[in-house]
Amino acid sequence: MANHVEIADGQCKGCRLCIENCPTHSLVQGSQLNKSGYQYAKFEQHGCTACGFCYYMCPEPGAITVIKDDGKGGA
Amino acid sequence: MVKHAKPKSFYDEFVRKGGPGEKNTHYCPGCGHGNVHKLVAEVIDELGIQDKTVFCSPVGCSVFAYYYFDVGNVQCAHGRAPAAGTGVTRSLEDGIVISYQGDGDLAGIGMGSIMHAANRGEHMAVFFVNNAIYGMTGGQMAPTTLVGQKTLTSPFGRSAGGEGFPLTMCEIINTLQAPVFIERVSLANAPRILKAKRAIRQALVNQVEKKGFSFVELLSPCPINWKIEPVQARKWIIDTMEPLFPVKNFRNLEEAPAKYEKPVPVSDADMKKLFNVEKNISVTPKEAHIDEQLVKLAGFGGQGVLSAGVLLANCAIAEKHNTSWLPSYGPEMRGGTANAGVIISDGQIGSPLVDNPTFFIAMNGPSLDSFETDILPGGMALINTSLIERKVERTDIKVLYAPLTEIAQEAGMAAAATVAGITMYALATGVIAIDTIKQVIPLSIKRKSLVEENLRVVDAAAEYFRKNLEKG
Ligand SMILES: Cc1ncc(C[n+]2csc(CCOP(=O)(O)OP(=O)(O)O)c2C)c(N)n1
Ligand code: SF4
Ligand code: SF4
Ligand code: SF4
Repeated sequence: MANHVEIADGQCKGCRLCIENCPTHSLVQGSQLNKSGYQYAKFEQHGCTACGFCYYMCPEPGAITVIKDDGKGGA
Repeated sequence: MVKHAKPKSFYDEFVRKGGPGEKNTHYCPGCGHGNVHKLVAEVIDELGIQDKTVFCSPVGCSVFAYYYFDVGNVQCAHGRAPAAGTGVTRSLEDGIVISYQGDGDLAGIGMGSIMHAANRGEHMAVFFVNNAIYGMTGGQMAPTTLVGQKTLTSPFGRSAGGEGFPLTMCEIINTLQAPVFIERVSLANAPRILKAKRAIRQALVNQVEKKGFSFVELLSPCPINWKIEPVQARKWIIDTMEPLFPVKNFRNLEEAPAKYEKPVPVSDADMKKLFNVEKNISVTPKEAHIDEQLVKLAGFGGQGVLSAGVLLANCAIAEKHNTSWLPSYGPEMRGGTANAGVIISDGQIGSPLVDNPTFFIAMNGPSLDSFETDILPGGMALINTSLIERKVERTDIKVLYAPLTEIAQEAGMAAAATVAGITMYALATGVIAIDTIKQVIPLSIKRKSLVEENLRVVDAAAEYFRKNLEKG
């Protein structure tokens, strides 16, 4: 599976820092609210390089997980 | 392959006081504390130091760091994390100590604490989160608030004339000799955050390698109190903070300029030397258990009340009792009133205060007036009739009357009247042997010429006691 990012919906606070700092524009703000009332971020594949920028911009410990394509076809 | 995920040094769930476990922090959206927490936790993972790390958290928004970090935690008094950390790092030899502080905490109320810890080169990594404002309390001006910056308490903008200039802590710490590593970093964007991680890593590697005091300042956003959106807040760091707080390394030494040497416990022999009590004296320890003795000696300053108390305490120590001595005197050590409380016990002594003596020695009238009512019922009082004319009014205590000053004067030393008092105390209670007093006097009197006079006073007092008071 290609490089990608998993967002834990419930942990996102909708601050947009990951979205604004993604070099490949692979993140967007969704329209739905999570249980804390935040419009959480969503991953949209636009050539994610697994650079980790979104991970480091995100202040929440577990909201973002970055997965790199290891060429084996699995996650 | 998972490349970046929640660091292991965080708890899986954050259990907050009185609430259910949560996965997210208590920080506002876009707050820099979360970024710093993540970097610190990642580096702890990478260095494999989770089990020996002690995180000293401040008062400020990050007060609850112990909800998040699965390491040792101390929640410190406001501004005192470097002081608490000093205690931890000095006693926990293998420990990795982190002092995590905000700008109000570190550069305001805790300024003294950080300066001295830095100046001593304490082995700790300080992570100084500078968001130019008091976050937790709702956005008041901080020591690092910029000139012109509007806060709750500088609504028209900070004025340098009225409120001073912002304190630049890296530059200030850099005037000290002891620190090994000083760097300022910024959380404004991803490349800067990766640089910040390298600085945090260096500061913690320095702890693993026992290099010394390492200071990392992180320019960090407080979007809520800056009243700007999280994304704009990061830009504000670049545009407004970084020009005043330059992001750079200030120092990176290979070795600390001074090394801390753990104090070696002083040996009994050296301790005796320090306190000038090297000579051993031979006493036959008493078989009988003594009841707790609460002795108070009171007189005017210069009468030797305090040193007589020391003499009594030393005699009791020589006889292997537990002893305390507590002096009390006014600002005028001579001339005013003075008293000493001596407790002699075979058990543990809790407080050295003697509020209600079992034995009271009154050297002058004002002392008797002050303390007569305090004596324990069934206790004893020794009255220096040379200076006190009146009788004791209490009827529930035993009273001994003796002209202590005159006895001492006739023996050649009026100033030793209190020694006569101690002698009579020893005879009246049987707690201390006269022989012990005579062995201790040469050890505790510095001027050898006075030893003879004092010993004569002891003999004279003992003789007076046997003749006049023993039966009474
Ligand atoms: C002795 C004491 N004085 C004052 C306070 C109130 N107080 C709590 S946090 C704080 C300042 C916090 O600002 P900072 O250190 O910059 O941390 P931040 O919240 O911005 O992370 C103050 C003054 C307190 N809790 N205790
Ligand atoms: S890992 Fe990099 S490229 Fe992929 S979503 Fe995150 S920021 Fe964008
Ligand atoms: S940075 Fe984190 S909290 Fe902010 S929008 Fe992205 S995932 Fe959500
Ligand atoms: S008040 Fe400021 S420092 Fe405190 S949690 Fe909110 S954004 Fe962070």
